[in-house]
Amino acid sequence: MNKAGKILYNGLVTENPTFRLVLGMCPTLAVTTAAINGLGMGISVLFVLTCSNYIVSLLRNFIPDNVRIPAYIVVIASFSTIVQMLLQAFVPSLYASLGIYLPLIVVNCIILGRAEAFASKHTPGEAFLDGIGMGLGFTVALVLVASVREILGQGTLFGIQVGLSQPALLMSMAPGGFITLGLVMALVNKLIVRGGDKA
Amino acid sequence: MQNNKQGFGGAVRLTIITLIAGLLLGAVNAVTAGPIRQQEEKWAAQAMEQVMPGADYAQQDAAGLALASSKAKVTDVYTATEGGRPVGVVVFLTAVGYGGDITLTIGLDMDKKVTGIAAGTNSETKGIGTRALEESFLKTLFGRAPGDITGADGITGATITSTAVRAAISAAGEAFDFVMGGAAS
Amino acid sequence: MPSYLVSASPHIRSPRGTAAIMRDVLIALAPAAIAGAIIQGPLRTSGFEAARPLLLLVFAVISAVAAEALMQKAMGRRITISDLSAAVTGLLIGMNLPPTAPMWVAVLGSVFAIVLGKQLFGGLGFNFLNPALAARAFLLASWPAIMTNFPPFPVSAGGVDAFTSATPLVLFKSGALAGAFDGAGEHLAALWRLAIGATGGCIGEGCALLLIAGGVYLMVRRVIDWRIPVTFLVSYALFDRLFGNTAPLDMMMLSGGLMLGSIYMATDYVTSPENPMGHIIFGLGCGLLTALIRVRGGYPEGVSFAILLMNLCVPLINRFSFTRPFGGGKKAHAK
Repeated sequence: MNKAGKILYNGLVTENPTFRLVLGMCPTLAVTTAAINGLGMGISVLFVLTCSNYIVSLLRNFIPDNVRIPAYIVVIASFSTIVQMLLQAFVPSLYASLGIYLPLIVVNCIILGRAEAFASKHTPGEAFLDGIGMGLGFTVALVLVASVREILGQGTLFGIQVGLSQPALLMSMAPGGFITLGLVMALVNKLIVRGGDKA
Repeated sequence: MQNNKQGFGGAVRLTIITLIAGLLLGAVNAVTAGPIRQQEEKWAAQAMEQVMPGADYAQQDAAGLALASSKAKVTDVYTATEGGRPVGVVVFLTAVGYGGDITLTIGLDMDKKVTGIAAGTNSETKGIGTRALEESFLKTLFGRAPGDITGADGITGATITSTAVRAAISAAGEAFDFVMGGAAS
Repeated sequence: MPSYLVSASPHIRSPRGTAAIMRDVLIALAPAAIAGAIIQGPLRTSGFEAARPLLLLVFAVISAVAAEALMQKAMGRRITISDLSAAVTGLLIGMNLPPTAPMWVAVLGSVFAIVLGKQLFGGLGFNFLNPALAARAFLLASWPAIMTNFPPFPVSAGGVDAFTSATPLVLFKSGALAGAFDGAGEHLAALWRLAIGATGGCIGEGCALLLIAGGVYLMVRRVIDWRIPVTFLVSYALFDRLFGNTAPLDMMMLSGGLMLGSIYMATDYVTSPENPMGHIIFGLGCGLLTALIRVRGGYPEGVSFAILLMNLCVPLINRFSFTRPFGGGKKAHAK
């Protein structure tokens, strides 16, 4: 696998931010009540993450060590706000669904974590790819957990009925979120580690 | 990582970054402000059509309106007329629900009876709280005056959301009185 | 050269194993379970519905045992269903269901209790919540309408009409029974009905008399420590009055899952404290929380949540309660 592929695979599988790095748990639990919300949040984070990774990498020699955290936050907050404004203007239904979790993308640990751990130490091209990989990994994770919760908790998937006449309401609530996340995380880790990738 | 000039240099660079970010945000805002306002107007027009179709709407000033309960707030009041004849009032409100504010649009006819309720943005629990915002439940409140709606009108298991809807209807009634000159019905 | 047998403690083992203890619990529960199946079954209704309570109990037990066997096989562990702990869990889950529940509720509840509540944590001894109660909480939160569907209980001529609909606790909480039992005759009649379980409610929680009899049996056989149920009930009685409940206390004590919970669920070895002082603290807390939820809280019944909350406190209680060491003097050591 070439370098680009490696970075992408890393973000998607080996160091999947939700299942392997266990970052960004708060929006994961809150937003995964329905698959479409998971998809929307994942794509928004992908956008913010990729842009901020790229900019942070471009500026990695310009930002001194002692102000790096505030600098990263300014970059991340700006992109997060841009996503918010764009969604509000052009996709208001998604903006309404994501509600308060959209501005909270700023404090999503994945973005700050990757800025610090990767983007500030790699070239813009690599940082861009890492953003895409991690963003995709996060999106896949969200959609996976959200699908389970939506099917079991409401009997639908992406809004389409899948036949559960008496869904378990608990799945749409917080405890269901924790249980689902824990079980899916265990399953995914078992599959990943068995595949030979060791973090 | 190169260790550039400490302190002073760092602050300067941070300021530069922040200024550029600010300019960028200003630019995006300029681009999106128009569409955002259009979306809001479109949504408001749709909501008004839904709760009281086919009328001409005129916005009223609700600045002096003092509500009895803090569970709901009135954001806008419109009077609806058809051919110059007043047919009712459309009230835009936010009510305090389980997960935050619920946006509601309520139409009241000249007898202060509910003609329609449109539920907008909300953070209620999907499948539980949102059941109190669905067509099937809201329909049961049509044709009744705020005074006729009791605690029994609700969805079991969605108490807080149901209470918010009732509070909004109550507040809409008060807005009606305020705008129509206090004639109780 | 003499050979020494070197091993770690314990060196003296009781001949009574887990299976024997669980067998005693099943014996203690059986009368109340069967009475419940009869009263909520053929004595209440007819046709298939009359068999439903018994079937629910059977399905719950079978599902629990099967779930444990399958799960242990899947996890590569030794299959321990012969220790009967899964059977006890299954029976308790069945007894906590309303008589109108569909069969899949019993199955799902048992599977949840055994798989998520017990085996995933490492099996018997490693769970931190009472599995039957965890399952009940799961079922109640997931299908509230099904789990609170208690049909009206018909009363034969001459009986007190008061308990014909919903459950006694719901009626007490709504104030619908205020002043209904002022006459001594009516009071005794209603009390008797509560004692034998001729009211609406879950299958196994009704027959207080048989539950208490089973509890006495377990105490005599030294399976449970009397401290937990007794302090639970005394504490409940105290706080029930303290929080301002005006319903008759003797009726409140015999209603709902209080007897079932205090005698059979709070005393679960794995999820209760390790020593007598801990048991007393545990019982006190359970009673207080039950009274709080019943009198001041939103639900009519608080026993299951109270016990679950106290389960969470058990590590803390263990830390601060201490046993007198064998041969120890006046001072006891803190753990």
